[in-house]
Amino acid sequence: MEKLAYEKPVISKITAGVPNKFGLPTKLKTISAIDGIAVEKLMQEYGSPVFVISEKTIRETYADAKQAFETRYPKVQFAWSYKTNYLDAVCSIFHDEGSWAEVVSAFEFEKALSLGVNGSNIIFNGPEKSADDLKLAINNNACIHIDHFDELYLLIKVTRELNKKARVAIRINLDAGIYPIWDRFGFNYENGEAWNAINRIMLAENLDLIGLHTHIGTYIMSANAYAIAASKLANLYMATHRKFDHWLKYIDLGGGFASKNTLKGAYMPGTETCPSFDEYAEAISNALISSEIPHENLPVLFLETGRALIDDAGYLLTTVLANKRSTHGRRTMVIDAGVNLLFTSFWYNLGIYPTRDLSSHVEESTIYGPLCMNIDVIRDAINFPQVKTGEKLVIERVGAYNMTQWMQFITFRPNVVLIDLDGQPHIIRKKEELASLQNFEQNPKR
Amino acid sequence: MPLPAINRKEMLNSVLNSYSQVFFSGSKLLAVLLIIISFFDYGAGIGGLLAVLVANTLAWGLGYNRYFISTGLYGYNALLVGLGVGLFYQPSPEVFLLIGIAAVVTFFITIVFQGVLYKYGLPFLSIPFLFGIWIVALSGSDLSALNISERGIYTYNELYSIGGQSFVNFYDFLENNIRSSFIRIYFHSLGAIFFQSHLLAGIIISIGLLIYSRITFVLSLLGFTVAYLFYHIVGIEFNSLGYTFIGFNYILTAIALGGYYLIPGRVSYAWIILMLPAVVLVTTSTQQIFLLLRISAYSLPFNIVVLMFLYALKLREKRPRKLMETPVQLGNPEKNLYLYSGNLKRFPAAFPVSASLPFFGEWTVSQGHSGEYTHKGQWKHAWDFVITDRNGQQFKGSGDYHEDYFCFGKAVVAPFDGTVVEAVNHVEDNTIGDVNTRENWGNTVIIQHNDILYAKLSHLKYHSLEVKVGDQVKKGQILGRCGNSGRSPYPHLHFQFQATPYIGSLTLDYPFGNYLLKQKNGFTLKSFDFPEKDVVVVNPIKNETLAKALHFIPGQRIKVNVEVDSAKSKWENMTGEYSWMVQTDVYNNTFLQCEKDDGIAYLYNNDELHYFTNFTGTRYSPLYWFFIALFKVPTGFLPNSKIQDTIPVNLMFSGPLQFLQDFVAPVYLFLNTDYQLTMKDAGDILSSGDLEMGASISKNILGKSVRSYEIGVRINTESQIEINVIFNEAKIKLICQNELESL
Repeated sequence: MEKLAYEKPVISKITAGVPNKFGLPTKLKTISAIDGIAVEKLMQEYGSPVFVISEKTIRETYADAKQAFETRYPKVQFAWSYKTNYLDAVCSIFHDEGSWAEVVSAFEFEKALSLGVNGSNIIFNGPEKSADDLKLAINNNACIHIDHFDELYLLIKVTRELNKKARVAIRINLDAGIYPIWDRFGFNYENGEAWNAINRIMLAENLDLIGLHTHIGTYIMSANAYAIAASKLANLYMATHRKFDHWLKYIDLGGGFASKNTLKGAYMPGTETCPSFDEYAEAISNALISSEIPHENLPVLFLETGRALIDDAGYLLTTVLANKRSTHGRRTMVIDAGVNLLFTSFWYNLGIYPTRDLSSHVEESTIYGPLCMNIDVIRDAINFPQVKTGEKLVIERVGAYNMTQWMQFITFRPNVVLIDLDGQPHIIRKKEELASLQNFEQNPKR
Repeated sequence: MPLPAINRKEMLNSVLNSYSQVFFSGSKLLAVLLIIISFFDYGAGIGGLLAVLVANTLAWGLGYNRYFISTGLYGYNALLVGLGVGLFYQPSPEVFLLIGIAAVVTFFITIVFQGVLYKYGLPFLSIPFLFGIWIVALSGSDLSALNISERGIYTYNELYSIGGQSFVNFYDFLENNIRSSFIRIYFHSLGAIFFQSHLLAGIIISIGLLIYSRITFVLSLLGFTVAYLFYHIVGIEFNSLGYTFIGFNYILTAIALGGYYLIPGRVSYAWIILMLPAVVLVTTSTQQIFLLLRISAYSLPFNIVVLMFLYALKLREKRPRKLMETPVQLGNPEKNLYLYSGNLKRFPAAFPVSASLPFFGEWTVSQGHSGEYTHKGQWKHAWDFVITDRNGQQFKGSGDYHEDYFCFGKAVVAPFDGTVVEAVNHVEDNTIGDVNTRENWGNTVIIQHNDILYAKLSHLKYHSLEVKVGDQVKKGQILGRCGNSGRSPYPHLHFQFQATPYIGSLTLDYPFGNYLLKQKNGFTLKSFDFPEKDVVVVNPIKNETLAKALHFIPGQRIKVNVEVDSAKSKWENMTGEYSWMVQTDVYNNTFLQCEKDDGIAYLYNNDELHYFTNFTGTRYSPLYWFFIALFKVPTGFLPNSKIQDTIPVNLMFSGPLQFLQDFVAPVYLFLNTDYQLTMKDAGDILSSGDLEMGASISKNILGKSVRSYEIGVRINTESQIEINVIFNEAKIKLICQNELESL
């Protein structure tokens, strides 16, 4: 018989007998392999920590979302939200599946162009667009989503200079019955600002108004909010037709669909509470179809879903560095992945799982990252079994935002590995090294 | 009102076509031969021509349809009367006066019969002639100022006066060498159509027929042979056909039914064999009646049988697969056949309703026509649709609940415009696995599309209907939601066409209009087809750029710039500037006409599909290549989708090979041309990009490709169409631009 691992004695409440509100003894889920490749093997090869992305999961999630909308609404187009994850390999998968590009800066715009995306299939969002950025967009025939009047005036000026037409839509903010109301982006619907903007654009010589855009917020847990937003945009769509005899081409409902992560402070896990693609699709399609818009003139429905399409496909593999007891007696653990890599740990109670069956005795613990910085906390409180240093852990649902909002802080950013459809791993972003960072630096001679 | 201006070409056409129209033809060569024959007897010749002129002049003067006039439809009956009367009497001013009057009478009879029979979609054939000639013949004994012709008695004298001794010798040679009574009577009968009683006329007509149409020639022989055999079997005296104007009934019936009013084919040939004995009986019986009146029945049997048969065919309820009435009359059996054999589905008349799939997105056929579960017997022409995921599953989770099924609750939309005639909304959805055989069809909507076509959508979700009886619905409008009511163990949509408005009506074998069939590497567009079990289908999304570029508006002028790279001057000469005009004729046919070389490309556009139906003119016309390149283009086309068709034989082949093909065409086509169009770059969902397509055309003999053409087509958002044709002899580049757009 193998020698049993030594466990420090712990005093915990007995949960035998009738299940109380804490349920039965914990049986922690394990993630031993990703798309058939053992986590152990991946870490051996690509180091620790390491991000792993599953192409299979991306494509399956995309197919689910596409089917949910296309079987409910006649004309649907997804646009990949670059800021969610703009690694070339990831974007290329979405473009291969038919997604357009949704960018919010000249950097992202150029990245999309470099990946072979046709300029007319780029949606240019965001509050910051310089005259040069606008020129780039106009010359590439992109769809420019105007955020405010000053941008509109600048755009009119630029189109005059270039003597070219620009394809535009406006970003609209509105009350969709949820809190908070994102009113900092775009033109307001309720106070008539949006209608005012439409009128100005329709009368502008070089602007071709083709769409309406809104983005009601992030991590929206109520599908009905989208229905409210869709019907408000449908009203503007019809009003534009009535006044100008002009059918706009699309309505863009932006992003904001929740992934299955659990928000901090949520009582129930995200897997139970977040709406599915079907629920969002049902709400949006019904709102548009039952609006006043004649069915033969229904606009194309654009969706800029990011998080919900990529979150599930990303994993972060990490190693336990140390076990500690705090002065209050609380168990704490240090792992080698910190908030420099996991921006989303500020928002979610990320799921952290061992790769193999461990003891069923769990204790409320705090998991710290490796940074020499007080904020580096990955989980405040998690019921976790005793693990030894060197134990491999998997953090799931980290595909969205982490690989764009990560920081080069204190240490290098690790390898990002993509497992393709054939189960073959590929490095899609190499681990940084000193030279790659010093490259940008210049040290004045003294 | 001033008379419509007659141009010389139309006038000439109206005269010539009046002659060839007797054989249902528009062939100029045949017309010239027939005119020559008619002048073998100058009295008849002048009489015929006079009658044609009188009838056509009347038609012009009174303002009848110019198209009918120039195709000879108003002239040929008068012609026959003129010929008959002219032959019967000795030429004199009085006779020509009589012919003029008879022509006027015949003309008005023509108008009357046209008016009556066209309502039933039937031709008036030679009925006006019959009445015209009977009127004259019955009054014959009172017309004492006219002398009965002595011609036809001294044949050799007449021949001598036409062509001298050598002509007489030639005629003698024919008379002495054609001994077979079968062949003699065949030629006599052909000649008799033009009231000529000698062999030579028959021989010339048969040569004319052969040049005009091989199929017509074969049919004339077939009809005559069957009649000949029947005469012998039942023992009717055959030789009398040699001197009565009767034998041609068999020939004309065979030509009309075997190849002209119906698409020639094995079945139409078989029907000729069946019908001809009936024509013989009608002939012998009418002859007995007309003997009492001392006049000939002439072509009465032919008229009776053809009209009866055509009328009977029109009343068929089931969609005919065989014995098709000619959908577009091109005036030549070969052309009709080739056009038809290309693809029946090209003709909108065959399928007046182009139904789209009654849902959004990709659905899978879980049971097709004659399915293994419930689509049996008289309900076999139906489809069941479900939604499946990429693993072929219809549900997620356990599949124990309605909501697990992907199709449950999804919108069901109207396949075509129509009126709701039945709407059941109260049947509760079954528990999964259970069926409700009492309210078999569950919640159902029936839409009436036209008098005999209804669509039924069943097993809809309880209380999900958004329409009620009497509502007018438009294609694509939501009717209700997919559910699980009625005899439905798991959620699915049942769809069928039917001919009557009731729940439980029998199904009708009718196809969906245009849909995309999902395949491994893209989609294939199917037109008027029947999706089979397990296939995945989706409605095409219209591409505005394509729709705009292929929307040819009458009056629009298209400027074309042609560049050619070829060693051969016949191709090289095509280089230059051309201008095409979009026009429409009285039948609402839209066509492009080249103002330089007079080529005409007929097209049809039903908003979902653009296709060219026919081309007339030279192959060295840029319009011909435009026609070939854009032969069939759907406006809803996804990248990597394909469409296939065949181009009619006569538009790609010519010469002896086609001549040979013509003879056997109704039975077997050994020549064919495959057309395949692939959408390479379809722009995007907002139709904002340029389009790129590739057409591959392959000419085959006995299925083996003998020549291929690769054609690249680019269409930009300004509707400029660029076509690059590459084949072994030349590279041709066309740049076509709407005149107004290019300003």
